[in-house]
Amino acid sequence: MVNAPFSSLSERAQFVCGKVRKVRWAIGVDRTTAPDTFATGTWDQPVNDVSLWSTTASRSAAFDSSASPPPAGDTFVQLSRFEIGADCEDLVFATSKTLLVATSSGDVRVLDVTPDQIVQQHAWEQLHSLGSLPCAASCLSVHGTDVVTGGEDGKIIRLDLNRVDAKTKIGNIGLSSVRSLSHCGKDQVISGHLTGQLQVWDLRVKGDREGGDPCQTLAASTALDAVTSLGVHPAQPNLVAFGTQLGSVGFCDIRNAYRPLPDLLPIASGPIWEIAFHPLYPDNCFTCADDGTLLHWDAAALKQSSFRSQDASRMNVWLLGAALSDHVKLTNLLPDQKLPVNSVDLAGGSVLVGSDSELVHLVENVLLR
Amino acid sequence: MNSNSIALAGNHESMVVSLSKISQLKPQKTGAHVGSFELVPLTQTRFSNPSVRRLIIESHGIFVNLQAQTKASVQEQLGADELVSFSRQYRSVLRSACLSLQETAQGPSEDIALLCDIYRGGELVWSLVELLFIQPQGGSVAVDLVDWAQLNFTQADEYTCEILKAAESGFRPDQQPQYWNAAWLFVLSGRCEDARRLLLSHSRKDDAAFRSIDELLKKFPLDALNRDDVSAFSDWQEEVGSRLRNQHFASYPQLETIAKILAGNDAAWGDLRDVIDSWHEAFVGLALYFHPKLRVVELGEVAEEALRLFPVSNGSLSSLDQTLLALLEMDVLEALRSLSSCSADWWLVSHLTDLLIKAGAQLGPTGDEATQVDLREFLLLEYGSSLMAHDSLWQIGADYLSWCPRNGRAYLEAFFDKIPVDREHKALKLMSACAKYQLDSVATSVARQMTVKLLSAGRINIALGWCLQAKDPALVSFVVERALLEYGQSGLLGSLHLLEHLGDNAFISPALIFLQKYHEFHSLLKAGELLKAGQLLTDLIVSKVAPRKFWKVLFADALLLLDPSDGQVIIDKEATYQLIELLQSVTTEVTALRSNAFVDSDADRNEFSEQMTAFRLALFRNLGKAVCLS
Repeated sequence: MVNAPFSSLSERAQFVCGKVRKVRWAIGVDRTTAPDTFATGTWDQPVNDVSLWSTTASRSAAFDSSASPPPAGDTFVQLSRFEIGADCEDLVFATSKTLLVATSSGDVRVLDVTPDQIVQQHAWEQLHSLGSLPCAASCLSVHGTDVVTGGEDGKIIRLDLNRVDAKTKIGNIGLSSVRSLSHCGKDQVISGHLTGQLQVWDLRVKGDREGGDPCQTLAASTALDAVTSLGVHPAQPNLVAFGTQLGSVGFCDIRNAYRPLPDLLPIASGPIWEIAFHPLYPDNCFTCADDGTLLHWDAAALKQSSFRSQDASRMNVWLLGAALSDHVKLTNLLPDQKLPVNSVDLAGGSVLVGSDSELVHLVENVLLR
Repeated sequence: MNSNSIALAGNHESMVVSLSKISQLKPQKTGAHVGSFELVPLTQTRFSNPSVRRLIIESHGIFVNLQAQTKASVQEQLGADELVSFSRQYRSVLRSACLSLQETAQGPSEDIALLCDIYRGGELVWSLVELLFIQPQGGSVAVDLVDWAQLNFTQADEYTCEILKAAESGFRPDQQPQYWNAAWLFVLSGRCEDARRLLLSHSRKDDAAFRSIDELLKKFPLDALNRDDVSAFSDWQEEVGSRLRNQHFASYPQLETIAKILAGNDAAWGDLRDVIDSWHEAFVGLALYFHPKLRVVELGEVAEEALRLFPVSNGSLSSLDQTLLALLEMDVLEALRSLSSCSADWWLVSHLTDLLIKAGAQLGPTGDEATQVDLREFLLLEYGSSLMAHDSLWQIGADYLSWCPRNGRAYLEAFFDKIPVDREHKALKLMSACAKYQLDSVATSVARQMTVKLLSAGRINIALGWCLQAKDPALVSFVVERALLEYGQSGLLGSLHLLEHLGDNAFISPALIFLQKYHEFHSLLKAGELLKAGQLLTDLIVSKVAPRKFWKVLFADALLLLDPSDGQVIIDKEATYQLIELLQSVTTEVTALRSNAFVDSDADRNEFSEQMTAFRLALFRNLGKAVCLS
């Protein structure tokens, strides 16, 4: 059962003209409060862009007289903008000033981001292609200076922020299209595929010219149900949450994959576009789906032992399967949303959301335990 | 010679026109390109304007709520209060769109100015519609008109602003050119309190005439009208009339004009001849002071009277005026017709019609329900279609089409088919939308398009993933056969992980089941389970499920198993007999009938025959071994 949001929540939303594919908080100094700025990437427009926004700048301070002022009543102020042309597929802040964007033309661009302007530092172009035509770089993951990208062509490519020409292929030619990707720790990467599988890669293994084999393949869902999103637990990188094309969510521990995976939890009627654990309160997880739902999963109650059997007492709450689905508290943070919600990012008590209604929402004072 | 030449190229989004001048035809055609331009439908550019886009998206939210709430209510009928609430929401987004357009316009633009005019006109019409058809009836019509005027006729407020600004710079208000115009317009709109306040800023406010008018304005009994206490109103008007007759205002002709209006004295119009721009401004005053008891059905006559007093300058009424008149005459259908000719697009007319029908307004002849439903559907289809033709508004357009019960589905299918599927994320979005609107055939088409794209790029592994999503057995078989061919040529069997993961999904196509089993065979080989592998391979060969061109690969695999280094018998006696029998029929087909079913070309037939000979030999040797051991 999904609850209505608490009345103490405050929500601000702003029309940003362009369907928002990804929203990302900038890297803040203090992890307990939300930073002042965030980035957005759009999709499905004739010309797409990546923009930097401020949640607090006053209009007069942000603009000089030559620029046209923003309309009155704006909640967020657009500080700078960069046109990327093709769709934004994924967006990651590597450092507080460096933003990486993966596009649907197969590029990964490295952008220098400041409130005054966004400038492209360099780009890896056409990393992914089908035959002679470029195809999308669907997902991106960054750990330190290590960058990994997965694409529609089934390739996973490893790049280095400090070495422009270093490109390593991970995985052989037999993979199916990569829909989602995440580092789980420094040396491991997990990929989610169109055909419903998760594959775990050890970055320390030097593959042959054709790439190597994954160290594990897991059947997350069925062959007709793509794994559309992945989230890694901040404290336990072996615990992975995933969302699927048909609207289910699952959790698995990649160290103990020989056990049958806990059952999938069907929670939406469309693809789960993003799933993320809160970085400071990992008993809270957030999912956003194509049917417009933005769910806050609060599993803190499950920490009480009364819900858990003897042998499950030391298992992470997210792996409890049936007990999780019975006792997790689900709250829809955007009950009026009609169009798909594409992206969610968390910082402090603030939840940043991007959707196909060309709005960016900021939900604050979310109750986190 | 010098001739002009035009070339045209177009798609469903735009057309490019290119002009060239040909200077010479022979011996070689030569000329010069003069120029090119792109023709884009107005809605494409208009819908790209942020203010318009925002209007579209916000009104979509209101529309969907309205449909859902209506469906969920008792007898699918919403109460007047709820309808008024929706109407106000629509008006609110329309107003913000208008304000936003003005604020964000960068420099003068004809299109923006036109759009602003249209939206303002739209607000005028919508608020009148709300008053006449959506609001709960009861209370005085004249009072409602006063509210309507206050909302929409802002000329007097603009004048007042100017006067106040001038006053700050030290100029006397009553010396401003617009002072009396503002006062008269206030009075005409029934805003007596505002008129009073303005008059109090006159330097002569303490004169008897001023104090007299002040008193009358203060006593203006608007709420009496609301209570239907007509006698109180007539008494007040009597008082005004008597003071007028007793020359209370003789020293100030402007005040006299005000008194004439208040008393319902026709002579007022002569005084206001140069002040009033259009019949709208006169209309409310005419209704309020001259026909205070008027009922809704008399509005049309009063409007005609206002038009007679203040005819339109060039003789023909604008579409907006026609719309207003039609509404006042309660001819909703005519009003909607006029409205569509003065609107920028289908937005206004479609949303308004939908709301009117839900409010139970009579659009056509009584009892003709079909017209109402048809009209609503027609307008929503037009609006939805204009959205679907735009790059990124297809999700919103689809929603509108989905609320058209008769033809929505057909339109949805037709439009979705036209949306280009050029990237995977878009394909997944489309498939999700197809599931929402239950458009299974379109979903299959999307998946097929992705499969074909991947096959053309030679990526058969990934194509296999997408052809399963298409749920099309013929397509799956086709892709599997291509995969097998590729294995036959390159020796690389890709999609290993997918094949292990298929489960029941393999049953969609016999070819896929074969591929799955063949992969299993290789896994058994790799794991060293030779006996099981041999059994499986025999079953696969004997069942004749494999594509014929693949049989030579199977025979080669079997050959390896028949000749193991350790002399073990992997394929048992029974199985060997079956294989010999099969081989016999194949040989007949190839040598006697000269069939090419198993090979790629004539030239390969000899090679195949040799392979079969070797195979036969190995089978007999195996039989011998098996018999000896048993």
